[in-house]
Amino acid sequence: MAYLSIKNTTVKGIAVAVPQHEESNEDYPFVSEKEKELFIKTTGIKKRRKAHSQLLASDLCYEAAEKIIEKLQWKKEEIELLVYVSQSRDYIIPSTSILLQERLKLPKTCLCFDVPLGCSGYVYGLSIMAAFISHGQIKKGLLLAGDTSSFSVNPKDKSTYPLFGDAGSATAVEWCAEDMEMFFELGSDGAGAENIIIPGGHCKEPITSESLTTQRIAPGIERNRVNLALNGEEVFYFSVTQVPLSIKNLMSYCNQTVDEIDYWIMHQANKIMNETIRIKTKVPKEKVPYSLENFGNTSSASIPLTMVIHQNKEVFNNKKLLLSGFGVGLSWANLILKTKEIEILNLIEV
Amino acid sequence: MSVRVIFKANNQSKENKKMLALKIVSRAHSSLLTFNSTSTNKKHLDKLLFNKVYLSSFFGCLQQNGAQTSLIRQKMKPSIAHLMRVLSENIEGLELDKITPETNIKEAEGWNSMNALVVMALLETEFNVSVKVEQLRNCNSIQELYQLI
Repeated sequence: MAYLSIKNTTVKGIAVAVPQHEESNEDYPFVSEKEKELFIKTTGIKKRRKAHSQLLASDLCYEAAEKIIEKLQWKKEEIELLVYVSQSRDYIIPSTSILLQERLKLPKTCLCFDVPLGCSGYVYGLSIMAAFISHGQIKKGLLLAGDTSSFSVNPKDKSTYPLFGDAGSATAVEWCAEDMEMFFELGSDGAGAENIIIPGGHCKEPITSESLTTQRIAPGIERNRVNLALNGEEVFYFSVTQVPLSIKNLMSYCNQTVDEIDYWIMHQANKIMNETIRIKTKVPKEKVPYSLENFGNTSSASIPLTMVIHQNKEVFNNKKLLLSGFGVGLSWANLILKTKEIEILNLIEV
Repeated sequence: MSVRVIFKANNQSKENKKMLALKIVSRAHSSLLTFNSTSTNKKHLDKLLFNKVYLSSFFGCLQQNGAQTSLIRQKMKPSIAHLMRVLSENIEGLELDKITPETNIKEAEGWNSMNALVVMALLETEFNVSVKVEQLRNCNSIQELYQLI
């Protein structure tokens, strides 16, 4: 496992944009009423936001970025770093981050690249931002993290479609003179790669007409080779065993305890998984906010979204936060972050 | 999870020890819902086995009676009856009075992959056991599931 301790970097602001269109899992037509009820009870997901085909993850991140830049009164010419974390990139080539640099009218001196990670991506993104910014040469940067997972899932796949919602976020990260130490723990397990995968459509399995043929995998599960396939049980086992262990290791690394954490913002996978992780880690319910109920699993945007929809955004100011991302890869990342004043904007609807 | 509690009462007379043991057993029956068994009245050692949730109540009882107590906690395997109760409380279609150790939970009415997650979560949180997907798939009865705990 990789541990990082990074100083002189602070999170200044967070904004999140979601599509206006909402879908309810109570209206999901491909399972029985009883199965629907069990799904909602177990996953905790009642509704999701779904982007129309012309609304991309980059559009959502763009809206969030414009709003946070405006709120913080940042000068665009001062932004020298843009990292775009997404598995719903506009193109395979070129990187969406570079398209966003142009669209946001950031200077050509801005360093841009994409990070194609999912559920662990937000914390990975923060580790990259902090690693660049802590040197003090780049003072301001934007982490844009978001996904339109609804584009990848087959509506007739009950194991994926009702789980995922769409969202895009922008996090403003800045150099600071104070020793605002961040502690990261990051890891990977490629042995579980096939447990969350889109197998077709790229170099390993180039797209053919057969790639688009829908196959019946099991009752209630139909998909083609370019749709997302999820092995929920294996991902559950990975998450509930790996995440508590990683947090224990991180606490030991930085000589802290989970009792010292004010809030734990977890990637929003599903309720039964997150609650199992929480109970195993012995963190009280009131320290662990959720956004699952009305937004589902929003992949790389789920952590900032959970902060944005919190009833009282100021609770995250001057606090010690634990952020945890885990999932596709398989991959995980945890961060202990001491905050100052964070400008957290109201949810943006596009 | 149950624990074995061993207390020493060697500052008590023989008669007092008997009384103490009786009071504890009586207290256990009245307040310890998951009280399992007693093995009492060895020379300086009495033993009780019960659910850890009620430990504080138990020690309150001991202190009221002036016993010098010491505690050894030892993780004990929960009973299969406890597993059956937990499963029936959390999985629709598994009624406690209709299931036996031979019941295959995957044959419960309405069973689907969500229930498998529920079972894995229960084993993690109630029994502190991480069960691999393959292990769960190979279980064809509650008895086999119990053997994983």
